[in-house]
Order: sequence, then C-alpha cells, then structure tokens
Amino acid sequence: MTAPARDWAVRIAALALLLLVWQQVAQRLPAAILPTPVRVGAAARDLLTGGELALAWGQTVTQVAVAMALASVAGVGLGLLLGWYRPLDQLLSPLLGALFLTPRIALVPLIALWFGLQDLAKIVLILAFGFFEVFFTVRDGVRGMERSYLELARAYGVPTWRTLRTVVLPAARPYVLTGLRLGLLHALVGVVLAGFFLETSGIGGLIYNLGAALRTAELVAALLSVMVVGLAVNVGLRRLEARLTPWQVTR
Amino acid sequence: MTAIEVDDVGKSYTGKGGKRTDALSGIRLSVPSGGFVSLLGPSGCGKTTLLKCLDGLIPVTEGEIRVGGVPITGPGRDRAFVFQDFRLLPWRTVLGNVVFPLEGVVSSRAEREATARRYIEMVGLSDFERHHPHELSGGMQQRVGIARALAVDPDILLMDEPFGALDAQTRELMQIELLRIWELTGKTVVFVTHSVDEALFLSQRVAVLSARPGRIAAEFEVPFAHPRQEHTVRGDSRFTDLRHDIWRLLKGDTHAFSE
Repeated sequence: MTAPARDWAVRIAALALLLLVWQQVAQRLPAAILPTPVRVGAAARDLLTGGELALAWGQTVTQVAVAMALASVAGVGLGLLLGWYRPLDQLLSPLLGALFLTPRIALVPLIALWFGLQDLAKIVLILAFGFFEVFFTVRDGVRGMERSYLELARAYGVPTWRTLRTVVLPAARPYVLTGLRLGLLHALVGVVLAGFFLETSGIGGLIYNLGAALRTAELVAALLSVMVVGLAVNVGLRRLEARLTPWQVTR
Repeated sequence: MTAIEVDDVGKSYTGKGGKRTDALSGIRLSVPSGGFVSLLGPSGCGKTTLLKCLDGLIPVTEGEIRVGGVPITGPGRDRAFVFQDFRLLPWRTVLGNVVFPLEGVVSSRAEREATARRYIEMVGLSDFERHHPHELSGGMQQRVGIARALAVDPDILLMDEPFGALDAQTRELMQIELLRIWELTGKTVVFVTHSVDEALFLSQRVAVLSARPGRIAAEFEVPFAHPRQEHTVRGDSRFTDLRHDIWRLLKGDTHAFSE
C-alpha cells in the first residue's frame, strides 16, 4: 500500500472507531445530553433541507467577507508599513500589542455601545479577531526578510520606492497568505461569539438557539458544520499558498 | 591601469557600551584593471567586510577606497556583487532574476531581456530561463547570480565566497567556468575565499589577510599564464610551493592569534 493510501486507511479507521464508541456511549445516555451519531446525521439532514443552516451561514459569510476584506486591507497595509519603517513600528506596536493581549471578548460591551447589536457590530467584532493575525504575520515577515534582499537591492543600486514594489511586496506575499489564513480561522471564533453576545443570528446565533432549546442533535450538527468550514478554510488556503508561493514552506 | 585602490582603510564598529571592535586596519591594496585578485584568510578576518567596503555597502571608518581614481561613496553600477548565498529572488524566474538590476535603468523591456538572455547563455542556462531558483541546483543558482552581476556590465566583479556553498565537484567546475567568463569578458575580479587552492588556481594575485583586526599579511603573485589548465596548474611544483608558503603563513597566524 502506498503511504498516502495507508494514511487515509488509518484516518477512516479512526473515524469509524470514534463513531462506534460514540454510538455505544450515546445509547446509554439521554438524547438531550448526547445524541447518537445516527440522530445527529438525521438532524443535519433536517437543518440542511429546512434551510436553517444555509440561512445562518449566509448571514455569517457576508459578515466574514466584509470583516476580512477590512482586516486584509488594514492588516497588510499596516504590516507592510510597520515592518518596513521602524520608527512607525516603535510608535504604534506597543498600542497594537496591548490591544492584541486584551481578550477580544472583553470588547463586546464597548462594541455593542458604539455599533449596536446588528451587522455592523458583528463585523467589528469579527474584524477584531481576524485583524491581528494578518497584521503581525505580515509585519514580522517584512522585518525578517529585511537583511538579505534589501542588501541585494542596495548592492545593485535599486532606489527605495522600486525596492518596496519589486522586493518587499513580493517577499511579503507568502506572509500575507499565511496571515489571511490564520486571520480567517480566528475570525471563526469572532463569528460564533457574535451570535452569542450580539444579535442572535448567523451560525453563532443558530448554535445559541439550538442549545437554549435543548435541540442537542441539531446543536451538534451545527457545531460539526463550523468544524467542516474551519477545516475547509485551512486546507483550501494552504493549497492556495503552496500554489502561489511554491518556494515557501508553509507553517 | 589601476581599477581599485584601497588606501590605508580601517573599519571599526562601536558595540553596546561604547566598546570598539576593529574589523579592518591599515589595508592597502591595489587591483589592476582586468586583474583577478583573491582575498584569502581565516573566518572572521574581515575579508567579506572588506569586499562590502569595496562595493560601498559598508562605509569605511578610516582611509579611502578609489575606483577608477574616484573615491567611492556607495554602491555604483561600475561594480557588481556576487553573494555566497546566491541571493536570488525566489518568486522570479531565472530570466526575472537576471533582468532585476536592469529594471528602471534600461527602459525597453525587450532590450532588458535580450541583455539578460545574452548572459544567461554565457553561463549555460538558456534552457532554464523560465525556471524558478528552487528548481535549480546550487551550482545553477550561482550561475544565475553571476549572470545577474554581468548583466549590469560592470567593470568590476566583487565575489564573496561564491562557491563556498557548493559541493567539491561542482565547485571545481564553477572555477573553470569563472575563468572562462573572466577571460571572455575582461572584467576586474576581486574574489573572497578561505580556500588556498581556489585562490591559487583562479587568481593572478592572492592577498592573505590576518585574523582580527584584518590586515594584509602578505601578497603572493601567482605566476601561471591564462588560460589555465586545471591539471597543469595543480600539478606544477610552483603551485605546491606557493600553497605551502600560504599555509605556513595562515597557520602561524592562527597560532599567534590563539596565544
């Protein structure tokens, strides 16, 4: 058997074992505490056909798209600027670092006061989760490549603005992609919290409502959908990174 | 005619707490136009620092470096640097890397690429111009580094242990290749190495640097005419004698340094 085939065999076996144990344990517990995989499967089908899941994810995806577009522009822009220009970094990084270290969830009351409970507030919260990964990854990337490539540009008399365009920007590209992937994964945390603490809509809101209604099988199905989206984002963007920057080993 | 004149050059760094370290001291060296001079010395003797001073990447703290009689103030297009780690831009193809220093200088793209292709051909990589660096071997990557340096048509090539990262066999092939290119183009070459054999095989003159602070301990003329044949040079008794003398000098120096 080839190595990838063996890997997949192991994965499928592990999944089958997990489902088996889950089924056995769940049969001995009340369905409201732990539904069986079979019941979760049926609930997932109901959520899908009933349109609840599609509606929730539809609301969420729009918010994430807007928030991550903003996070990309701000994170990449600031990351490039601060990574390149040290005085500005010294001025702004302590502030951004302090903000990063503050649990973002603590910002919810303030966000609610400033932006209300609906789409705008949710976008701000998701942005707060997604931005920092993009920013720090890009900034550190630009900083790290400084020495060798910049010396090359200097040795060949390439002027500063051209160096920025032809060396710094392309050198930062793998870090931008990695930052966007990590940012998007963190944004999923913001997504769920937004549904809990702000207006009860989107996938976070759906999870909250299903939990409150003790619809445990549907709740687990909704959680699985978050997991699947997270995995898909991670794998998809890693593939994209490998394609666009084949010289770079992704972390 | 003299291409490079190094006039009593010193370089010192002020570290944390104001402690001064001398990297280079009282360096005098003159490199004739079209000549091939090696800077040889143990690691940490400042030979790379000296080469970067010659390029203008590092300012000197004492003395003066003149290129074509004019004191240098920074990197210039009359000199081109070849790095030990190749320093290729990984997102660019071979052609893109060789074109890189011509962008903003030669306005026509077709002209830039034609120039680049000429030198890519000279280093024997015409079939690889669309490849990316990570698809090439180390020796091929350094060929790109050399083509890039030649593309700006400098008077002087400054080479910082260019074959130091290559395996022994590739290294010998590249040495022969470099001599061929040097004889073809007539460039002035300053070549940094810590290999006695490499310095002797390639250069007309070898300047041996002592350990920190780097000074020129001695200069050796290498009597073999170019074009050189590898086996005749390495088999010659004068080669063996020079090799012996330089080794003694280097060993004596490291000995004196450890005492």
